[in-house]
Amino acid sequence: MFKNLFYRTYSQNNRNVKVIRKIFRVLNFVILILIITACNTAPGGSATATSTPLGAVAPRATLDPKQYSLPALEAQATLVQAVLGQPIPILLLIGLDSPRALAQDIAVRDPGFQGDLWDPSTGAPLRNEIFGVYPLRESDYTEATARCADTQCYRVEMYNYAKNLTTIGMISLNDRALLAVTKIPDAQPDIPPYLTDLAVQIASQSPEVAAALGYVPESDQAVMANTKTALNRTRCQRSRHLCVAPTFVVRERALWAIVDLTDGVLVGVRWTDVGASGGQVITERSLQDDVVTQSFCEKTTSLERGDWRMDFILTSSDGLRLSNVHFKDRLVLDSAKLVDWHVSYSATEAFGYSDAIGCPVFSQAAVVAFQGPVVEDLIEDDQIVGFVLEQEFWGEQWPLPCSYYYEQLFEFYNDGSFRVVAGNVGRGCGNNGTYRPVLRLAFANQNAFATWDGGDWQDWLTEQWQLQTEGDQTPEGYQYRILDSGGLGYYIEPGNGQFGDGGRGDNAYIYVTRYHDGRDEGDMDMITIGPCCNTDHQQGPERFIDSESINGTGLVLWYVAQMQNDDTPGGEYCWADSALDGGVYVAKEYPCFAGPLFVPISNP
Amino acid sequence: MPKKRKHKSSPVRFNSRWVWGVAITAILGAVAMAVMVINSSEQKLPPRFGLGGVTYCQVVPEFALEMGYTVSAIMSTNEREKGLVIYDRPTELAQPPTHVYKHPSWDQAGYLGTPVNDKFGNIYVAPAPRVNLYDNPPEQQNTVYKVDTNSGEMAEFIKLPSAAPFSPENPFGILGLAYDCDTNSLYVTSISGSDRAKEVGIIYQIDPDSGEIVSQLKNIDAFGVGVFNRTLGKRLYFGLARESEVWSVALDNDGRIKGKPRFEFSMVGWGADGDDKARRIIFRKSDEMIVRGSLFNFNLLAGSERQQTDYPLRYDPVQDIWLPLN
Repeated sequence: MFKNLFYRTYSQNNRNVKVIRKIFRVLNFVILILIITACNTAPGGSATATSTPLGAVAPRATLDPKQYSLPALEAQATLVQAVLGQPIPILLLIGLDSPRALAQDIAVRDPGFQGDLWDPSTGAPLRNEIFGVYPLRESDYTEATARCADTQCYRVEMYNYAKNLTTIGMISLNDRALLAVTKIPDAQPDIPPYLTDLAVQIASQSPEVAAALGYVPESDQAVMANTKTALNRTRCQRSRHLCVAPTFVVRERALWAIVDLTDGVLVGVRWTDVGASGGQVITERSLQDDVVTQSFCEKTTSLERGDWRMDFILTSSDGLRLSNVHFKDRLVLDSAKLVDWHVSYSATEAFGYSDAIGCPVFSQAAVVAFQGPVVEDLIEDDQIVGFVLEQEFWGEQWPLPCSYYYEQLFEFYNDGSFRVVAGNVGRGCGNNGTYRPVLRLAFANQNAFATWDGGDWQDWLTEQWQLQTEGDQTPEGYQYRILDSGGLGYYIEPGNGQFGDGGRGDNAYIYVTRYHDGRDEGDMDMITIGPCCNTDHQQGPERFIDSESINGTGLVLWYVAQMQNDDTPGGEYCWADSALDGGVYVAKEYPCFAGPLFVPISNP
Repeated sequence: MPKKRKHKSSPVRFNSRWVWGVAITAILGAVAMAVMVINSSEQKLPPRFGLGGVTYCQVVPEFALEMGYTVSAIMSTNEREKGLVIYDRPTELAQPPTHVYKHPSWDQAGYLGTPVNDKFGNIYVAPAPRVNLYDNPPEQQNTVYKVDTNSGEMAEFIKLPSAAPFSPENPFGILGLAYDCDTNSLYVTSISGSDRAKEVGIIYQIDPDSGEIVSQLKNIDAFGVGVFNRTLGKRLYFGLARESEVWSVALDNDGRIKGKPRFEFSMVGWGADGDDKARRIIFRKSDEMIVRGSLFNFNLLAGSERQQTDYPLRYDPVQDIWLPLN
């Protein structure tokens, strides 16, 4: 019957049929959409592919005034220094009308508003600035400001650059009094127009912006500049600095240029699709993590410089891993990496950490890369003698206590020598810490390993370990030798404080194990190899020592230096501290470095 | 003429086609409606269940009571102490804990996440690596451990299946635990096997009596988790591990996970960093949710680096939504 009814309806009139057909088409479409919607898996899902380029993280350095002239930045620095010398170190807002100027004046003179103007331990002035003076809004009314419903009140907003702190003073002009003060940690008020201009200038003059756009933009091409980071869902979470994001729109894409107004530098640039960034958060951390991950964690990069060529990649937990290291077409190293940092603070309590270094997201690392590796010239006596490939890893809170900053350096010299270095820049959890980086180097080819006994080289026939200080050295400082059957190889010179980098001697444990093709003994990314706090040779590599022959085989050299930190004034080592500079806290670094130098026995 | 005949006969073919169209449409509509009904259906809360949180029945373990601990005792899984410890809450701030006890079996699973109790005083807990995997090997990361209320002994309770093998890109397994007193259900969020490219986490409902998986929600990397009763029914709220968002999914009156998850609210911009993830979800009173947010990017993090912020929200029963209080 149901069918007949429809039959009759359709056969009555072609026009009706067409209309109903259309209705059913629409209905089918709606139902299809309903089904798709109903079956849609809600959160998660994989990211859609996009052709939008990524962006770049800028090296953390002030713009070079010789290359990019920024008079506004220089003028601001001069002004800040002058204000820091005043009895009330607050940079005032200028160009205000009389009521606002009066409100500002009442606020800055009130002790209740001045609570965070000076460093509590030294009394040194901190950098403070009034960002805005606004009529009190209804939403500002509290018990303390209730009278403002009938009187003229203003809200004075001050930013403390040193503490990343906002202070808000509620001022009654009728009473000429500060009614209430609110302090908001880790928050920034809206910035004044001159800082907007400054941010745009920094962005426009930055080489990273020009490189991304393909041209040097005019300042008026930036939009959204005075949208402060907090309101624009953009922040500098790691530096805890005041950041804004001038944005350059190019057709369907937008280039976010995150500018750090505390330091006056560009943090980096990030492309987004215009209109697609509704839920996208572009911040210092997301920018750095995205760039590092996509550029260095997800793919191998090749480097060729002079007679050296190699590949490198950032690992999940073994730091920067070099592979296929060649010198003049001879394969020298299969791989080199830093497996763990063991940090122990007390032999009696066994307190400490085993830190892994690596990629900033989706990794086993607790101390991570905020930027990719950099390559710089090695210069001695004004001559370029080689280059260094350097990668840094930070804890989010460094240089605060119990946060860490590690470095990896691979120095390659024109004469074929090279040095693998582990560095620490504190600060750690105490001044009685010992840092033990676990370096792993897999040598290419079949080799023999020997140690100097004071008169001759003695081959190690089986896997074993030795404490550096228990061996002898040649007059040149060579303690070990790795040699292939063709007579090519390297002398190994452990650190004894001779490298001019402040190192105080490595006191290293040296382990040599056999390389296995079919059995992974650390060639892949390693989970934590050893505990934090062993003070002897049991740092992890010993687990691979099982008396196997190592004469004329593939060899793996493990090198575990031991560096004791020191916070003695004038003698700091493996340490970091905070100090005031220009009214803001900056890190004072006291690094320590360790690692052996490999000197070619004869070059290919 | 042939054209005319053809024209005459066309309604028959037309009608036949439309009958099929109608039938297919009806079937598709029915399927769509069924899917939507399943996805949106909630069982109205029965009178025996109260509104709000569902942890009212949790009690102190029997062994702890026998040792002289009271309801104010703390079961702690802190940063420096491996495993579980119990101690009396200090009477004054900044005082060290007193009456500290640790059963010999309590550090077998390495560093642990936040424990939950059931109505008998049994404690459920899961491994949670801090700065490394030395004490938290990957093979243990997807196992729930149970501390028996009577003996105080910790033992493996259930080893949850992983959707994919361990990946160096993800050192975590279980992230969140929650207990529902109404249905005697243990909920576990696990991201075991997930990596940068694939999201294969699972939310489990487990029967604490039998240790069996009752229901599950797949392909979702969830973090903190908690059950809340509304008049419209029970819902399981959970934070996402990949996004600063809280979602929920309906539960039936037996605690089974039903239908499709729904978005509740975004945490983007909240707190000092603006990108916190919801690592814990706690319900207080009949209409208050506390979301404990912290940094999480699928990598390890020292306790000293982890800044936690509590975000309070209030339930609006009219709109069935949660509103931030700050």
